[in-house]
Amino acid sequence: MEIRINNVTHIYNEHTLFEETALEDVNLSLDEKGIIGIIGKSGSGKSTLIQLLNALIVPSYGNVEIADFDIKKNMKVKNINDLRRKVGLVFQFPEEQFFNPTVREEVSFALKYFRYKNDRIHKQVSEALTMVGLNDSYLERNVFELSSGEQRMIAIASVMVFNPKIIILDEPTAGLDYRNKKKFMNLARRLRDRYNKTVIIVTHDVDMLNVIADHIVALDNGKIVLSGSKNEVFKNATLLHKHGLRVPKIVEFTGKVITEKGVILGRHTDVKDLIKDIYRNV
Amino acid sequence: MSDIIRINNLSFRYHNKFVFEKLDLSIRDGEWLAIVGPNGSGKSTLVKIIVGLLKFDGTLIIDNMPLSTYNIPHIRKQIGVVFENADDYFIGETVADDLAFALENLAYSPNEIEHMVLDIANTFKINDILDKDPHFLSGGQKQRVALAAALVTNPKILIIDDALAMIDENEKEEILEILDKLHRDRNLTIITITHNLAETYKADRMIVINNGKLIIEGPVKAVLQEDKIFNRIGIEIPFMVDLSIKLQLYGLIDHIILDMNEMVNTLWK
Repeated sequence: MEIRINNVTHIYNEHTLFEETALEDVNLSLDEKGIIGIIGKSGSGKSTLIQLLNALIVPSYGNVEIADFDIKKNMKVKNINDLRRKVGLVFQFPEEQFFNPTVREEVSFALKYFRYKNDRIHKQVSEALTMVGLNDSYLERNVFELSSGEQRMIAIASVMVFNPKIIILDEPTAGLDYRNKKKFMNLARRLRDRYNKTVIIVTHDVDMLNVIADHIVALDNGKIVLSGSKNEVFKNATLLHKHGLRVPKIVEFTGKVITEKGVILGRHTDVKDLIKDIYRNV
Repeated sequence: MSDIIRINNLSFRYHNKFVFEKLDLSIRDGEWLAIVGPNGSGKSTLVKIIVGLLKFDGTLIIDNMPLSTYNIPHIRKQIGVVFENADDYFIGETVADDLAFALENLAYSPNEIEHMVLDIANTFKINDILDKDPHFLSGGQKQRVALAAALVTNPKILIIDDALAMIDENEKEEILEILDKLHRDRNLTIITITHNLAETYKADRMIVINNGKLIIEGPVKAVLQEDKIFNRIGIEIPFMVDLSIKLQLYGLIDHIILDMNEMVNTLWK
């Protein structure tokens, strides 16, 4: 299965004085598997793109094919809830939206809203906590007294509770320290490898994407400027720089060594491997 | 150089648990101090104590005045604070209104206000967005406006509490350059609160706190060598620091090199 974005243009406040084109004639095909990173400066269209993927907004022109749904203008509203159960979206700083006192109530809120039966709610909440690396011992804890890393995981569990096929996360590591960032990186890998999910991550942390992502999409000014495997995308340092983006530090370093000293080092994601390579080449 | 902030024997409890217990810390006038620690280490609590938002036990002297109910208005004039979510603090409908707000409250004349707003807008290169609504700017522009608003009244101390976390690298480097110039030219005391070590490179001194305790302090490059401590408390070691420390183990360099060009030229002379 593929996620296909066909000739999508999205215009906010169309036909008004405040008209603003956020995406312009975007075409993109993505394998519905693996970890996909979306990068771009503020205002490049990243948030618009991910909101189109679960129909929070619909394209002004063109269509989006995702999880057997066809998202386009005037689509049937009755399908939207089903789509949102299959394509989960976690906003930036999702824990700021907590409003239930306990983990159990917070994670089960959407299930209750959709009138799931109690035994099913219990099972799915428990499974969602397991997916994010937590367990039932958290159920009666106060969400507001958890650490920031735990709160972020609970917020992700609140979306995973529907067991979506695709999960989209907007800046999931914002405000987290390294210990919690590593936990998130492990979670993304676990969702891909053990649960066979498609994980779409919007981030400015290209160093993290260099370690975990399979595919990168780079946006600027409402258009896709690059899309491909991380090696294909990150080898275009000059083009990315032109669009206000940078490559991972480790890639920047090996690129500089080739350009300025003519020494070819391998492609690495780990500094330890890079050091051995440097040792052999100095 | 005299101390602009002196903390003696400071203790603070939250839910009967010590966040800080008998903390001592001095910050020199004109110093750039980086306070580093993981989430929940007490960094932001310390900021709230310094600006008088939380009651504490111990002594806190700012600009030669002990922090007390009577002194808070004077002390707050000496401190500009910028937090991570600038959106929460914008007041004006335009950037110019926002920058002018504090000056109007301090009863500056319209001429003075215009002059001071333009001056700080020049410093942060935001002259071209003075008529824009600050809520609709990019993340980097918002933080430039927030920093300009914090500094428009010429405070002696600037506190940046994780304020650069959400900004892309290029923008962050430009903002740090501007702050470095203010630090050197105007003798501005800067306190950077962060868990990103790459934001500490321009600071004079770094202290690392964990569980409310000061665990190490010293010149930035000396503290950056302590990779085992950072690993233990869960602070990410930036690429250039990690590379430097490991290359030292291999005997290829003998000190931390933070500049990539310098590193390449040192390794391949």
